[in-house]
Parts: sequence; C-alpha cells; structure tokens
Amino acid sequence: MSELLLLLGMYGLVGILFAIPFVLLGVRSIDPAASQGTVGFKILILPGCVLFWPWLLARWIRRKPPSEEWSAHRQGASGKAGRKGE
Amino acid sequence: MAVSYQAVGWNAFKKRYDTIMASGIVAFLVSFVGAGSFLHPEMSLEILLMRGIGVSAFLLLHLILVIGPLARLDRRWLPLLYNRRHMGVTLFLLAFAHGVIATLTYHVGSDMNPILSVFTTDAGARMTAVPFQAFGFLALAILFVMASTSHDFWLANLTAPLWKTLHMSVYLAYGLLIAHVVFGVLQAERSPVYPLLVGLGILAVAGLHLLSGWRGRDLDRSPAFDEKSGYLAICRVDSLVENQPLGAIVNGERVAVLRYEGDKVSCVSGVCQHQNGPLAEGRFVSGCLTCPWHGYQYRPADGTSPAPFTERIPTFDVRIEAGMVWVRSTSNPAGTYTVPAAIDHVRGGRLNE
Ligand code: FES
Repeated sequence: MSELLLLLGMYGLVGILFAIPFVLLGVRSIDPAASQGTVGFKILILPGCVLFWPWLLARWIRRKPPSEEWSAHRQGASGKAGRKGE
Repeated sequence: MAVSYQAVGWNAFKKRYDTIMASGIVAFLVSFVGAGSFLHPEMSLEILLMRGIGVSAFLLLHLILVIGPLARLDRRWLPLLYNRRHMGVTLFLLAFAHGVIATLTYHVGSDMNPILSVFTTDAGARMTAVPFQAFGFLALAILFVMASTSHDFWLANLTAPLWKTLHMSVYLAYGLLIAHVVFGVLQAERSPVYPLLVGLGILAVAGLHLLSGWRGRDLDRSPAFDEKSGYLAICRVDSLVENQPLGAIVNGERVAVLRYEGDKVSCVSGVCQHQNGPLAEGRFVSGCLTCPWHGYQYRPADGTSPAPFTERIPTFDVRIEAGMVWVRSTSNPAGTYTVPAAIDHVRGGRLNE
C-alpha cells in the first residue's frame, strides 16, 4: 500500500514538473484554439495536465492536433461506408 | 463556442446561476452549523462544518444527477442543465474541503502517512469495521478527475466519446458515496430519519432515470421508409410546433427536425459538435438551433454556426408530402445548404413539394 502511494506521488510530481512548461509552451502546438488561451484557462487546465501528462507528452512530441468528431452521419456524408436507411 | 479558450465564458445567465448556487450553499451551511451547535452543543465547530460540507456536497450530487432526466421529462428544467459543469466543480470543491477537514481531524498526528491512515484506520470508535472513509476517498478521486477535465479543452482533446465515458463515472462516485454514507454516518446515528432520506435520494435518482428512459423509448423506433425515394416519414406536419425541434432517429442516429420562421421545415443532425448534446431538445434562438447543454448554435438550413464560429453539422433534405414530413435517409456533408421545405398553408399543411 505504501509503495503504491509512493508511486502515485512520483507520478504526480513528474506531472507537476511537466504541466507548467506544457501549459506555457506545449499546449498551443497540440490545440490551435489554445494558442491565445487566457491565463485563467491555463490555470484551469493545470490539474488535468498533471493527471494526463504521459498522454499529453506523447501528443506534444508528435504535435498532434485534436481529432475531429466522428458520427455515423458525418461518415456517411463523406462517402465512407454510410448505411442505407432501413 | 470559444474561438480561443478562456477560463470561463461568463454571461449574465451563468453569473446568476452561480450566485444562486453559492448563496444556497452558504445559507445551507450556516443553518446546518447553527442548528447543529444548538442540538449538539458537545460537537466541535470543525466537526459540524465537516458534516455540513459533506451533506451539502451529497445533496448537490443528487441535484446534478437528476437534472438530466428532469430536463428530458419537462423542458422547463433545461436552464438548470446549461451550467451543470459549474455545479460539478463546486461539488468537487465541497467534497475536497470535507475530505481535508476529516483527514486533519482524524488522521494527522500519528506516525502513519495520513492517506494510508484513511484506508486503514477508522474515524471514531463507533464505526463498523467497513472502511467507509476509503469509499469517500475513492469517490473524491473520481470527482477530481471529472472536475479537472471539465473545461472544453479536455472535451476537444480527450475527444467527446472518451470524455463522456470518463464523466459517466459520476455514477460510480455516487455508488461509492452511498457506501460512504451508509457505512459511516448511518452507523453512528440512531434516528430512522437519515436512512429514510438516503433511501429517498436513491429512489429519486433511479426513478427519474428509469422514467425518462421509458418516455424516450419511442424515439428509438425507426420511422416508415419509402424505398424508391430514400425518404423516411418522420411525423405529421401539424404535430410540429413552431420553433420547437422534434427528435427522430435516421440511420440509427439522432436528427432534429425544426419548423421555423412560419412555414419552413429543415432537418439537421441531432448531435451537437461540442459534446454530442441533444440538439432536438434545444431551442430556436436568433435564427439558430441552440444546443441545450452549452448553447452552441447552428443555422437550420446549412447546419453551420454563425460567424466567427466554425462548427458544422450534417444536414438532411426534407420534403412535405401528404401531410407528413419526410427526411432523406442519407445525410449531406456537414455544413451543406439545403432548401427548407415549405408548409403549404392553402392546403393547411397537407400537401406540398
Ligand atoms: S453545446 Fe455543449 S454539447 Fe452542445
């Protein structure tokens, strides 16, 4: 149990070290809408960045923008495997 | 519909909503602590405050859970839904304050790590062997994940399906908190009022979910389909109320049919681009179909958000025939303009095309 707590603590610590440069520099390279994000926005997303740091780090390295929303209608309209009405 | 992110997109409605919520919580806490110190003069202020905050968080969670089904059953509840995430974040802050006071009171001062102590030792001698505080701690962890990902940034970057799944864990948190209350507070109380109240709360949450699900079952049936034209009959023209969208299922997905500006009828996807909100439960405001959840807007004829916003949803061809509204079963690409069908008043909305 105490080992688990230690592990979690270390994860959080690395997360904090990651989150600060990420909200200042990295976030704009993964989401264009964040490039002019306000200071308040950056503070609000900090805790989430501490939580999801490995995944955000991977996206920061690949500069991957958010994926577009998917729905069956959208897929059908774009000509890909849309079902016909029943 | 922020072009670039800000902390909170304040408007008059949200300010009023938050002011009412905050004053409600403060009023509740003052009355709780006031009544508590009168009825239990032996109890210290921090214990009363810890309990009051815990109870207010528990009540707020019930409110959060019943707003969705209530709004489905009766549109008049919709305004409460528009700003539900502020309630969620407030819930976390209350739960966190409760947890901090409890940990400081019962778990600091010994050699053991306080968090470890939450999982292994009991608060007070009267409690059962069940580690009720662990339930509370796990629920708090879930609420933290939800509160810290409540900003639109997370919705876009975690993607809506994952975000939605993550936020469905509120039901798990609810279950854990019920266990926390049942194995904690209820063990120490003699009065039957408390278990009764908890039971009523569970009944309200479960009952309203079942009821709204049962009412919505009609929506899941496929409407009549005309093989030749590829159009589906959605509803009778005269059942459309102006400016009030109607939900239906086309090709297994939700659409919203809207009668507006007198005699026009258009159909767009019923799934909001923001967070998959139910557009068919929205309103027609300033020429746009407005999502009930956070107010994203789409013009009914081309499924496009007004400038400077850029969201687009698929549109559907509509025609009116034999007094029925027909919608083509395949959608047009998102943002495609489609001529609205017109209701022919001379024939009382019976025939037109
Ligand atoms: S505005 Fe948020 S889901 Fe539609």
